[in-house]
Formats: sequence, structure tokens, C-alpha cells
Amino acid sequence: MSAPSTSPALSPATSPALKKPRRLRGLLPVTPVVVFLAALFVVPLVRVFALSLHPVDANGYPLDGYSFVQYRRVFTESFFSEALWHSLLTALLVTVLSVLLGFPAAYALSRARKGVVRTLLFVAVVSPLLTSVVVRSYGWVVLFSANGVVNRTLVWLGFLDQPAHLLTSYLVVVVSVVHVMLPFAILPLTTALGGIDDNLRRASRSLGAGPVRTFWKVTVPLSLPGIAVGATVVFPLAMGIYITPLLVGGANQPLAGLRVYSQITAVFDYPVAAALSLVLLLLTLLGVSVLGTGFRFWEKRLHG
Amino acid sequence: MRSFLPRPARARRRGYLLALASAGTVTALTLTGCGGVDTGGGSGSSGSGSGDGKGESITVTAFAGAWGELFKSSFVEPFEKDTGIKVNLVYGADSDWVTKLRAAGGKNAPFDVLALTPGSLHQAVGGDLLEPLKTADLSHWKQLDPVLTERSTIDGASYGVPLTTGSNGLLYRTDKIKQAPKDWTDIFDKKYCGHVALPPLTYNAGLEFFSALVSQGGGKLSNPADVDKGFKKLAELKGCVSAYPADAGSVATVLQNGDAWIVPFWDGRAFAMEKEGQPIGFTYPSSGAVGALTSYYVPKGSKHTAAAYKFLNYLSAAEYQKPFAQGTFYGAGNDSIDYDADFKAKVKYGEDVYKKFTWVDYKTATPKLNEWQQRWNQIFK
Repeated sequence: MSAPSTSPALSPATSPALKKPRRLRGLLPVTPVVVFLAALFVVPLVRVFALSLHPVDANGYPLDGYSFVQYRRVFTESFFSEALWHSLLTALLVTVLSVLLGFPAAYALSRARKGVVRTLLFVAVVSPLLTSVVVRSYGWVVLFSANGVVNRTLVWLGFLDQPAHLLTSYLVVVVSVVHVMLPFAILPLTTALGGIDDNLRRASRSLGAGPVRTFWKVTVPLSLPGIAVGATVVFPLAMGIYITPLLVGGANQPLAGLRVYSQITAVFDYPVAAALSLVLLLLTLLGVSVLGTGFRFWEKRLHG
Repeated sequence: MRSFLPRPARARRRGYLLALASAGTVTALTLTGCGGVDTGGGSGSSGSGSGDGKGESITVTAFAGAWGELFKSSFVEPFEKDTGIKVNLVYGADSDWVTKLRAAGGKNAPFDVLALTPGSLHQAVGGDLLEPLKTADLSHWKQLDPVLTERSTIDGASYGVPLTTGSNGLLYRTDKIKQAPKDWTDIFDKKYCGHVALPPLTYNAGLEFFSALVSQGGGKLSNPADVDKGFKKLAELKGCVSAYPADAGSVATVLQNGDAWIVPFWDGRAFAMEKEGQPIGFTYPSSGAVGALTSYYVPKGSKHTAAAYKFLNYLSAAEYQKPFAQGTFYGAGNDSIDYDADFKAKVKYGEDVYKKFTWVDYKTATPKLNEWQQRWNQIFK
């Protein structure tokens, strides 16, 4: 997370003959990581997939034999299918909000000079990640409760006659999830914005473009890689989130993550939980691919 | 404008990679920052050394939090001191433990003695993961409440040693509700509309409340028509619910913050909050509170059965159950306890009380839970 450097000090092209062994040698150090990831990610995933193919008895124990009954349930029972749909829309909303709200913060952070102000800004940005999820969630509970600051202000200003039930609302889910996700949008944006040569903006201004035009035509297009990374990191994280909405009070919200959680802890039906989480995973991968393709297309149009 | 963007594609890609790297660091930060909290209670072991030290040790589960601490001082410490057997305490919740038992599949059980609520009991017995008790080996078995031992008896075999039972009734704010509610129906009073907390069915307290509504007119969870009636009654709360707490901490928080004035919850929690000086009262509904029992079980595949039974003898003794029951404000499984005056005045306990309880029919409820929660969500979405 050090300050980004922009000097394109790329090594001169090496001869093709030297390239290949060097590349192979480069693979050696990453082998432990690859093995580690494969063991901890691929193996459980395969087991989850195998589990999702079993029908269950009345107590939720997997029976012998294979079938797609769990997947049929995920797509036909509204309890699951609506939750998937709702999760997708929520994740998209959270992604858009995180990028939009993160942009000004990243802009300020990238322009701040090194020193106390920059450090304070930085700490403020990453603070949601440094706080335990329990503390963070109860912070929101305190703010959104019936006699919390938000409700009291709304009543005092005359917008409400009596406190609203904010803790059970969709609003609380969006706000609390955006809060956790903001750093993931802000940090890559800061890197991208910090990498823009100030001379480009100056050139744009000196050639007659106003500040607004310069912003839209120079700053935003050049920060596109940051936007793309932020969105592709925030979106999958928001798809699977469940603990924050659960703790803040949105336990009743139809989110797929919450449904998986309740299938495991209350219903003990692991196969349907496995099927639901795999469908959620596929949906997330699909979403990320669509986002990635969209950004690449946009970038191509901008830069040719 | 395009001519003003002479950055080579390579440098652009480099910016992308840098940004990706910084995002990766953030991910690593989150994982270390809150990963441990996300998964809930981990396992911990009690550290106190023992006297004689036969080198034997058993693994026992306890609910995390104040409950677990009191469990340790009431049962584990005297047991370790007297017998020299070391107890590894595993803190958590029963759904974790059932999950681990299921993974072990009746071999090399990860615990020697474990706590379960009736919801997960049927799960565990259904998977043949528990050993029926040899009640003759339990020295206090005859003192244990027959209504409570019956709750963990399945097909004639006794599985559980009852530790304590809570009563699900109405917990309310005494400063907001001046006249104490009398029965379950009082939660539907229009005066409280907008101030009711309703736990979902996937949380024990919510299912117990729903079971109470179904049972009120003599209905049964196993009869679909009675369940329909229960949902019809529940639907009267539509628009009146201000919170859907799904864990004990959230219930306490919404009451403290004033989000809710009344909630179906357990007597022990209410009296503990009252003891802390909060304006909290509790009503045992006249048509019958719902029992919320915690019993201890021996899993199949435990290697330390003899030591486990020794521990169960401490766990069921009046001497050790008394301080635990008084600390949690839950009635104990041993009927021969003479409680202190304060406890007697507050908590309703004993065979006659437990007989009047309605109990959740988990055998019916567990497989139906999805379907019911779905109906519940359609009412309260």
C-alpha cells in the first residue's frame, strides 16, 4: 500500500531464448502458494459440490445416490431463488455506491501530501477493516436504533412523527455493507488516481477545457483501472456477505448468504446449503466476468 | 482529447496490477482483522491444573460467554480438583458441535460430553451419533426431573442428563409497559404495536413462540390446519414488529435501545438483565410457557466413557447445580435443590411447572422449518 510510482521503468525486452527458462524459474517460488490454495480452496469446493448432489432424509442427512434435487429446490423455491436475486441486486447497488462514494475520498487521498493529514485520511478509510465485525455492527445498531442519533435527528427535524424501524429496513443492510466495502473501492482508486500525471490535467486546462470537462475527459478515464479493480473486488464480497446484515438487524432480509447460514445452523440441511452456495458462487463469477468484460470494453473504446 | 493520453498500454496495465496488488493487501487485512470474529466462538481449554493428575482428560462443550464461565466454576473446577481428571472445555454453540459430530460419523468423537438443545438432539439421534445413557451408572438419576428426562428420551432410550431449563415467556420493558402482560395474546395488544421484537423461526426463541401460538387452542405442530391457524394469528403482528433479533445479544440490544418493549424470550435472560439494573420484567404466560431445555449427552465413539460418567455425576448433583442455576436464573434438572429465597421468588421451577409447559415438537418442526420460515418471511417482508 505504498505510494504508487508511475515511472515506466520496465526492463528492456529480453531475448526470446532467455525468456522461457526464466519464466519457469519464476514459477518455483509460487508453488507453495498454489499448493496451499489448491488444498484449501479446490478440495473443499469439490467436496461441497459432491455434497450438493445428494438427496436428504427428514433430518437433513445426505442419502446415497445422486440427484439434482437440491438444485431444483434452489431454483424453484422462492425462499432460495428470491434470495439469490435479491443478493445480486444488493451487491450491484453496493458496488455502484462504493465506487461513487469512494471516488471523492480516493481523490482527496491521492492529492493529499504525505504527512499527518494523509495518514489520518488513510486511517479513516481503512478503519472499517481494522475494527472487529461485532464492534462495527453494534456501532450501526446504536446509530440506527429507535433512540439513536439518526432517528432522533429525523424526528427533531420534523421528517418523522415517531422513530422509524430502521434496524429492520433494507436501508440498514445497504448502509452497513457499503461501510465495510468502501475501503476495497477507495484503495485501488487512490492508486489509480495517484498515478495520473498532473501535467495531463494542466495540458487539458491550458488547451481550454474547464475543470468539469477535464475531470470527465482526463481524470475519470485514466482512473478506469482503479474503478474496475474496486468494482470487481467489492461485488463478489458483497454477494456473499451475511454476518454484517445478521448482526445489524437485517436477519430477515432475503440474502442468499443468510439463507445458507440458516440452512446450516438451524435446519441442518447441508446438501441444500451446498447447492445454494455453489449457485451463489457461479452467479458471482458470472457477475464478475460481466463486469470485467464491460470495463475492458469501455477501456478499449477510450484508449483504442 | 485522445491525443492527450499517450500512456503506453503496458504502463496502463502496470497501474492496473498495482491497484490489484493494493486491493489484495486490503483483503489480507480484513482476513486477519475480523476473520476470527466472523466464525464465532473458537475452541478454548481451561488451564487450571489438577491435584492427583491421573493423566486422563475429557473434552466437554459449553456455550460461549457468561454461561460458559459459570459452567467452568460450578462444575469443571470442583470436578478437576476432586478427581484429577483434566477437562478440556470447548466453547461454542450446539449447531457447531452437531456439525463436528456429523463429520466424525460416530467414530473418534471430538467430545466426550456435550450440551444440546432439543432441536439439535433429534438431529444427532437421527444420525445415530449419541450413546443411550446407562442410567444405573448415574448416581443422581432418580433426583432428576422426570418431565425433563422424558424430553431427551427417544424410542424408550434416555439420552440426556438435564442441566437447566429456561421458560420462554414474555420479556418486557417495565418502564414502557406498566401493566404486566398475562398471556401470549397480550403481545398482540395494539398498545405495543410498533414496539414488538419477533425472533425468526430459525432462532429457537422464535420457534418456541410460534409453537406456543399453535398450542394455545390445543393445536399441534403436526397438524397442518393448526399450523395455518398459528400463522393467521402471527400475521396480526404484521406492521407492528420493530426488530427481528436472531441471537441473544441482539434481543438484549433492541430492548436496551428502546427499539422494542416486548419480546418472547427466556426467563433466565430477563432476570439476569433485571439484576444488572435494567427495567426488565418477565411474565410466565398463563396458558403455558414453552420449555427451552439444555441437557448433556455422551456421543458415540467417545473413548473416555468412565470419566464422562464421573463428570455427569458432578453435572447432575444438587450441590453443583444449585450455584449454576442461581447464576443463570434457570431451573435446574435436579429436583432436590433448595434454592435461595431470591431465586424462589422469581423463577418458576419444578415438576408441576414443567408439566404445564408446552414443548416444541422438533420431530415435526425441523423438517418443516424451511417451509415455515418461508411463510413467516412472506408475512413479515
